[in-house]
Amino acid sequence: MKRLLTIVGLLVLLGGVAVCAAEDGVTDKEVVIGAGLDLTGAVANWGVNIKAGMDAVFSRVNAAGGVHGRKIRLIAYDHVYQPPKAVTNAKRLVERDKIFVMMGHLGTPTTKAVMDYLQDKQVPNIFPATLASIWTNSGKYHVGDLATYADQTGLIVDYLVKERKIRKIASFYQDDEYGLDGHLAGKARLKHTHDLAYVAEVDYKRADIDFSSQAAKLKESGADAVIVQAVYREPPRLAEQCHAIGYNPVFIGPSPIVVAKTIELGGKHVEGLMGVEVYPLPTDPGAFLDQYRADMAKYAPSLPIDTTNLYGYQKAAVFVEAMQRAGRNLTRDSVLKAIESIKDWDPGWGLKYGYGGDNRRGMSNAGRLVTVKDGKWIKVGDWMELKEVGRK
Amino acid sequence: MTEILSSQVVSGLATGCVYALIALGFVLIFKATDVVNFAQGEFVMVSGFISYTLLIGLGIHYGLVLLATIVLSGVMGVVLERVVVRPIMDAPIFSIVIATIGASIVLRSSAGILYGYDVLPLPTIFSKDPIRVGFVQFTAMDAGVIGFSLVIMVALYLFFKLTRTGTAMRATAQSQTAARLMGVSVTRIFSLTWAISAAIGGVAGVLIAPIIYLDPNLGFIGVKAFAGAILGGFGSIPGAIVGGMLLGVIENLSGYFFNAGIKQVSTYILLILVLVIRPAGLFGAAPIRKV
Amino acid sequence: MPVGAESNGRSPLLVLDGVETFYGAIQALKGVSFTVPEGSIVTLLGANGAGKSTTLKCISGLVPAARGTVSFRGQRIDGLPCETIVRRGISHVPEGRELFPELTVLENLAMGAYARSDKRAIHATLERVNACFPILAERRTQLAGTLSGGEQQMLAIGRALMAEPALMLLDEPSLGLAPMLVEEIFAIIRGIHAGGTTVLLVEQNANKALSIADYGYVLETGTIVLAGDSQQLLKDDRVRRSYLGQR
Ligand SMILES: Nc1ncnc2c1ncn2[C@@H]1O[C@H](COP(=O)(O)OP(=O)(O)O)[C@@H](O)[C@H]1O
Ligand SMILES: [Mg+2]
Repeated sequence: MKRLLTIVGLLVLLGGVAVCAAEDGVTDKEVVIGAGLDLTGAVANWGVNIKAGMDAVFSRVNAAGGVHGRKIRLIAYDHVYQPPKAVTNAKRLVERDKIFVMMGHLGTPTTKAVMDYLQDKQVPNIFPATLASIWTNSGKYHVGDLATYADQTGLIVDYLVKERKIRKIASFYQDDEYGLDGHLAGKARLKHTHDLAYVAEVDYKRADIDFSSQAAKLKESGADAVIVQAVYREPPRLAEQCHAIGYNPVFIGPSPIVVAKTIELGGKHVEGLMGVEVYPLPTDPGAFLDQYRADMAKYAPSLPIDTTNLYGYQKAAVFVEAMQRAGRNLTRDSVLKAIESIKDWDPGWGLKYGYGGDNRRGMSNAGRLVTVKDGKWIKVGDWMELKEVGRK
Repeated sequence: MTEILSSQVVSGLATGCVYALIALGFVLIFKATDVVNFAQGEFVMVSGFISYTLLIGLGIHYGLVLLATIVLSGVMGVVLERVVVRPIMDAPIFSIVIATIGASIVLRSSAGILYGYDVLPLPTIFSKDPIRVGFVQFTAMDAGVIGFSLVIMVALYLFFKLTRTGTAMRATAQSQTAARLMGVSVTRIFSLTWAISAAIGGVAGVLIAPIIYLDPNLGFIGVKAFAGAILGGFGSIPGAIVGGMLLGVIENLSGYFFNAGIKQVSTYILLILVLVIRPAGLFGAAPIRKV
Repeated sequence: MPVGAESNGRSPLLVLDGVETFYGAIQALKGVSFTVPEGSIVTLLGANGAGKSTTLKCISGLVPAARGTVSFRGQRIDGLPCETIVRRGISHVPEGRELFPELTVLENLAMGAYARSDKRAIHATLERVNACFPILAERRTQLAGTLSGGEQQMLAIGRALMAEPALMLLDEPSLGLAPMLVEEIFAIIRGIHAGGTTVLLVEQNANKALSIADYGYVLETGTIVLAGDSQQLLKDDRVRRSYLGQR
């Protein structure tokens, strides 16, 4: 009897070892997830909050025993929104920390920098915190989650031309993979659908802090609307500097600007600023959002609820759903398959997630317009299924 | 065209004034002690957080906050000199410079730990609404920054030119030996130099933080100011002022005439051009030499 | 016991006793002892590198004495910082003048009075210095760096006078000056002495120095090897051979 037990024990141990050897980052008791975020740099507000949102989900799941008995451990490193640093961090995560998957990797230029490396190592790049269209069409190891900047800009262009009857539209964009995604898609959409072109194309560099020359050029172009392919620091500063020279166009941009910080920084200068959101506002009703607010209060009490941490929160929630579906036998393949199996799944906020197919590796194409009114982001349109807009 | 250009110049001058103030801090310390203080930008950042804390945290009146920030920044300069620089004053200059880089990292991280890395809006008394004088359009903020900077510069000039202590500071920069023989306490002059440099950095912080927002990385503006100081001729006070202002204007104009990429490197292109033509910078005396 | 000049009955203003100094591992002074009587002109002679300048620096506090004592008016001043020693009444005109080249002549003079606070008294001193050096008054707004060598030396001396010192240390004031200017400088030193200031003069020009000094000391590699009154030293064979260029 005793001997039998020993043999069984040994088998279990061996089995455990076998599972261990099967996939990096997965043991009997634990799954290790990696993230490269900007925690101290130009878009730290996004990074810090995405991490807090993901941590909140994982903490709740872990407190309830984990997923199929495995606790989730998130290791996040700070890449300061600098591509070279993002590469170093990714190597550290993959080779030293042996992560199972990369999740919520922040920033378009930074994630683009680690893309080939993750591909080589066959480490899935799940729901990077960048909605550039590249993640939806770069093959098996990259999966986007929400409507891309390209698609969002399509919505913006259609809205400006059709509903606002504005024909003089300018683009103010970050001169990198992030800004170019929406910028080029907007240009294509203007040309192919409306037979128009930007009246001015004005770029800026990541972490630039002064936009007076951009403001001057935009004013001279006579644009009635400026599409800001920017994050949260730039729209307030640009608006201020435009207002300073007596220029008051409509400012409108994709989801990265739809953050409380934009309003905090810009004050009255961002009243009327418009944006696209691709998931509900943190204050909206719904079971999922109630859960979110409760988790944030419990696990990140010092952070106010905000689109930024909700962004990370929803990524982690969808990923946990995928791990549930993957079952006890958790491998990189099985979790990717599980993500692909998600169809018409609503976590409880009235927005359905569904895998878009191999040519469109994303989970949702929903979007709607919002605006700043009385110092708050409020919705101005209803959810729409955004059309796919190319960059050419 | 002239209208747009002139407002470009004015807003460039406003940024340039801030560069100039920071550059002044670099040059004052360098002249007096031969040390290039790479924590100069962090004086700007820390003073931003000091005034943020006093204004938002404690709700103190703006004028008082301004005064308190300048004083506290000065104290910070003295502390940094006493704690970081003085103990190794006999070490090679290179080591001291590295120590100031270390101090800058410590200050930046401390601010990050205390306040987070998020950008914060710092209130200001100057409005950002447009003002128009003739065909030049600018904001009260621009005018306030330029005006306040000029006041500080003139006050410094008068201090150095007319007061006994100011003269002693200039004298010490020229010959420490002789200054000691005259009865000047060189260590006190060093402390005072750091205090003044940090206080000017404090003024720069209060002026710039409301414009470009406050975060622990604000100190990187020191890099631009440093370039301004070299442009003017490192070690020259008028050079620091003109170099800083010139840089602000050139940056704006290159952004206007070209694009963000050119704007980003315009500083360095200008710097290289000037150094090729005049290796000592615009106002620099021939090779930098200490008496 | 320090040797020399006190034997003549005047009270000693400055006494060095066994002073030793090091520059790193190099010992520059190996036990220097001598006395400067009040109201005298004393000269310190010696070859290049003998330690003359170092001796003066030890007195004014520019370099610390490792061993031995320096007493001024009966009180020990070794170990005190420069800025305290000036205030006790010792002015040091260093080798090479060490002017503030980018300050004006007037600012240089004002710096000379940095240790004093009585504005009226300072002004009186300035008047006297101006009377003494009319050329400085003429050039008062000019930068010190633009003066000629002779004028610079006058400014260095004038600046030291601004402190109204009881003892003036002069380190090779005639160095590099044309013969006519050398005469003028020595006349000025006599004038300063006549005004009641005790002078400790370091000179390469031993002949001239001894001609105006009451006493002289000869320093060789950090030690005093000869002492005596000037007339005596002028006749001494060793002095004549080594420092007066006579064989
Ligand atoms: N700053 C210094 N560092 C090292 N050695 C020095 C220094 N100054 C002087 N010395 C050395 O000390 C000795 C005495 O120098 P000094 O007092 O200048 O001589 P003097 O004035 O008689 O020509 C010389 O050997 C000189 O090389
Ligand atoms: Mg000498």
